[in-house]
Amino acid sequence: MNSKQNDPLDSLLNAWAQGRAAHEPELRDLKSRIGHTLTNEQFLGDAVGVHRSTHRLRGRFIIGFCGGLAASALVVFGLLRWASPRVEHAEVPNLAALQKPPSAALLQSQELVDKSRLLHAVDTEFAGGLEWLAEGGEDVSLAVGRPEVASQRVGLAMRMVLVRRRYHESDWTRVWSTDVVTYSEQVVDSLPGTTSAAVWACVLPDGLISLDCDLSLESPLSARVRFSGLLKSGIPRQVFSIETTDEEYRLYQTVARLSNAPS
Amino acid sequence: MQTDEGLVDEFKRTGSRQALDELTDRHVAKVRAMVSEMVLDRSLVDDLTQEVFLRAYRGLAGFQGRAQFSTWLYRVTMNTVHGYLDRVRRSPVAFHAELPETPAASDQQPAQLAVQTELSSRIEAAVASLSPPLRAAIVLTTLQGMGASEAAKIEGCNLATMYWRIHAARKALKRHLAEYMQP
Repeated sequence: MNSKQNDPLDSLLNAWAQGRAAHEPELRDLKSRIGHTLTNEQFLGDAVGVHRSTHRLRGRFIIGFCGGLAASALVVFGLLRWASPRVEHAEVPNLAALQKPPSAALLQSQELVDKSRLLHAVDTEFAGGLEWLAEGGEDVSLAVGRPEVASQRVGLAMRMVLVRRRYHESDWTRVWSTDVVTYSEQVVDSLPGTTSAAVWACVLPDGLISLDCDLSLESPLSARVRFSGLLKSGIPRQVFSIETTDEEYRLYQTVARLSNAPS
Repeated sequence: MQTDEGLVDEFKRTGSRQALDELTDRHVAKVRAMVSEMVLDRSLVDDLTQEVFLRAYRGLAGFQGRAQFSTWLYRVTMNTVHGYLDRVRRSPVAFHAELPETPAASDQQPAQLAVQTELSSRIEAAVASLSPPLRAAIVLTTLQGMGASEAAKIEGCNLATMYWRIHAARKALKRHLAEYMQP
């Protein structure tokens, strides 16, 4: 059982679980039942044999797998040769530039100061009840809940940017973006330009940010994006990409921790 | 005292039945509790717990010792439970809170017992309203006291997803049980 009893929910759940726990006679019966069933089990007699045969099977699997890999490589090579004439006259984009997150995904330090001020001001306006505020294009939306103690909450700025480039181009063009200010562990459940959204970020003790998002984008790209992972504060992370016949789209997400007091 | 992994090794080398009995002895209470809190049907708990141990012992040859035996066993437990809940979901049955067991002799007043019984049913209904992944997150962390990292390994998801599930489950439970959590 969990020792974290000071949370009322934990206390309720643990008391409930204790009420369901088996008593010693029940456990004794269960153990003897399991033991009795084991007596009739075939595998008990040849445990060592089972172990060896696994190794033999693994050996065969490795030989089969290597053979399969070689055959696949030949097929892929053939396909590449067949496909190459279609791309040989295309301009080669700057690959190094393509690997870097576009500047539109970055949250600059002055922007973070501004967002910290914005979060503080709006939260104060709603007596500490602001859950999140999102800005996308000309739309602004916010959610307000029960007032919380601001000093116990960690402010966050998020930026989601969908960028696009045509195959012969090196530059990315921003086609959709949304900025959010919110708090750690707060679910953001609506975003401008999406048909549904659930975004949640949590600052971990080591400073990394755990991010979970599930977005349904509408325009210019209709796509469902699901991502779970760890981010470094302020460093954009590519959470989605898709290639059409002549274009590539990428969605970047950046989350940065905001300072508590506005400067 | 021999470690769990030592007992597994002994079983693999010698086929020792005593090694399996010792493993059962060490883990049966926790496995049974996990099954009970997940399926919420007392009549099935012992059968499913037995199935967990049989599956685990039949699959011991595949246990490579990369994870702790307990983590591996709890993963078998949750896979068995999720499999059962999937089967139930395909033939939906409305949830009915279980009838409480006849209270044991107690020095509590009848009114106090009635309140506790009602509370227990409400908690059970709240836990039953969670989807299996969210329920598993609460069972593994809040009730079984595991860290989010071990819970993520058992459920086969990444750490961020586990954090999210814990958060969403706690939020839903707090909403269901708000009236019982007033200071």
